[in-house]
Amino acid sequence: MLELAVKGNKWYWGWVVVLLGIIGAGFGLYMMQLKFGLGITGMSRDVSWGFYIANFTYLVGVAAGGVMVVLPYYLHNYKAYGKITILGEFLAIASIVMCLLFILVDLGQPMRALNVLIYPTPNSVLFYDAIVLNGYLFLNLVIGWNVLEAERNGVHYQGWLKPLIYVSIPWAVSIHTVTAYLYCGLPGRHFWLTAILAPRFLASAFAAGPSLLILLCLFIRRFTNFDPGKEQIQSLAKTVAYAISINVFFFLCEVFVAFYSNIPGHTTHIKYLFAGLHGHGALVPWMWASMILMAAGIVLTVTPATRKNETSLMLACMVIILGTWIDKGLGMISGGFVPNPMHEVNEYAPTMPEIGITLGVYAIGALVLTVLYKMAVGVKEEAHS
Amino acid sequence: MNNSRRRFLQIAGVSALGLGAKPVLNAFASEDAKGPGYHIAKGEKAMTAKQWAMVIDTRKLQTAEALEPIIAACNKIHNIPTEIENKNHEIKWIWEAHYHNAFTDKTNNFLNEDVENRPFLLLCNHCEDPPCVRACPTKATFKNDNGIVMMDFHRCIGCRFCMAACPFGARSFNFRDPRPFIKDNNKEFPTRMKGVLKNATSARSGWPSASSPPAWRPPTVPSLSAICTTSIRKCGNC
Repeated sequence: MLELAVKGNKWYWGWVVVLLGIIGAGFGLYMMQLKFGLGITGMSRDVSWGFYIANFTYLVGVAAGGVMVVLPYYLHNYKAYGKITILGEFLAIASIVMCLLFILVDLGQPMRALNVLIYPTPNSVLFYDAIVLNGYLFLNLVIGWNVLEAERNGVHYQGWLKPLIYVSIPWAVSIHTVTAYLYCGLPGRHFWLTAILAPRFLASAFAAGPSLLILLCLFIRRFTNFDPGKEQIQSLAKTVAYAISINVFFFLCEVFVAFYSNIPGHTTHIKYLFAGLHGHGALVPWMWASMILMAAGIVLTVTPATRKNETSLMLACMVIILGTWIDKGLGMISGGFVPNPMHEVNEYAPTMPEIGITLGVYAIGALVLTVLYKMAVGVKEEAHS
Repeated sequence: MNNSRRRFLQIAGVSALGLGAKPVLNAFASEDAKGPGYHIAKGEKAMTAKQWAMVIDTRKLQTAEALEPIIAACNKIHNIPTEIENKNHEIKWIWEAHYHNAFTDKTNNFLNEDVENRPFLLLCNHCEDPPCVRACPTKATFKNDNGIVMMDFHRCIGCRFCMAACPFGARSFNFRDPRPFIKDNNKEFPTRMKGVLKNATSARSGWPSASSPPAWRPPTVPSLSAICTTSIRKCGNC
């Protein structure tokens, strides 16, 4: 099927070249990081995880979000989604590729990465994260590829895929649960030390992932001969409406527990993020922007008129992606590290090389997604012509 | 032809997966989960303990000046890069803190002023059940038989999970090559490279000939307790 990805018009190749350019630049910056050390980033002794791990966390969510089309189709026999499950699976593949790359660029000694396999350590959550992420990548590759190939050949997919498909559904939940466990089991970090962290991660994932999928569906309809379908997009929009509402609800639960109990360890991080602490408040405008964006997303997706209008739905998806990204990508990781366990405030901001490397990883993900979607859309066009 | 090649690739893929899984299964199977090649050599005069502990008599350290020689000695013995200017890249093994930062949950409005204004030394606590050891995905950070938390910087992948896990902010990461920033290189103790973690592991050089970690032999230079000639620091088994 790969031959479908090497046939394209000038726009397709132009896009691929642009992505390769960004990847090249990011790779150059990564070489710099490899030579100097992680000191070229904005991370420090106090904020020891930054932009890389934050984007990793966000993209685990996007990957898990793909299950929102797989589950209704295979478990509830919701036929309409049959057309687009492949888009959800391929989006998951591209996201997991980015996740693994973000982990790799975050390592101080990346050439020793395989030590995680050579000295497997079952008491470390990272051990399980490696298993679930790679497992999810493997499942989606096998399932996506074989189902698409079967569709191309006009036959039903192989019977042995069925159990794998069923396994992939809880597996999607597991990747974001284990990723939340990376944070919420750490004794000195009260911002993360909450049982609702994994549910909250999942809620934001099921809002952000399907939102991105809606945007991709609208793009595919506009620029190719394959229409993912109006009903499909509307069903996804309802999922987004529920998920983003639940995400904000979970956050408000956190705010209540922290401020009604008035336990300093719990309030201090939220104060830092939304009001600033001891004169430090770099993230304050971002966090309020995130809240406003997510609130706007709720209004736009819950109101039937704006949900059914695809232009306003597009806007809703954009504000939700942006709002959840700020919440998880900027606030969630920094917010946990500031103030530090000794109640000292040392802020974090990513540096230019750090942002460049991040963009490079996103470009690799975009390239993987472009190639996979080119194949998927190619097969769909063949089948429907 | 095409078919058999595909078959071959499938079998190769599954085999590779199997080989990758083997050490994982071993880890669950073996009782001693310290990993292959783990070996600790005992010093000739090594004393043993279940859990070494150290007590600092803070009444004898009333001013920042009183702490300085202790901090300087630790830095010198353990090749701590003290000349790093960028605060983000700072390495700290033992450092001074205010009461409010050292005992965050034990502050109130009616503290003994003498205690409140006294400087305190912070360092790795060598926890009985250390969160850093729990978090480490490669057992690069581990607890030795004497209860000391140690660090194998040749195994460390630099994921910094231990930094996030430590509730005392005791871990440092080499954000850049520390060697150019070490004032006087102590040849009896290893230096570190960029991209690995460290804790104040070797505050244990205060332990009389404690057993050595895999990477190096115990230093013979004057240890911290030898430098603190007064009875400020006491070590013992608990």
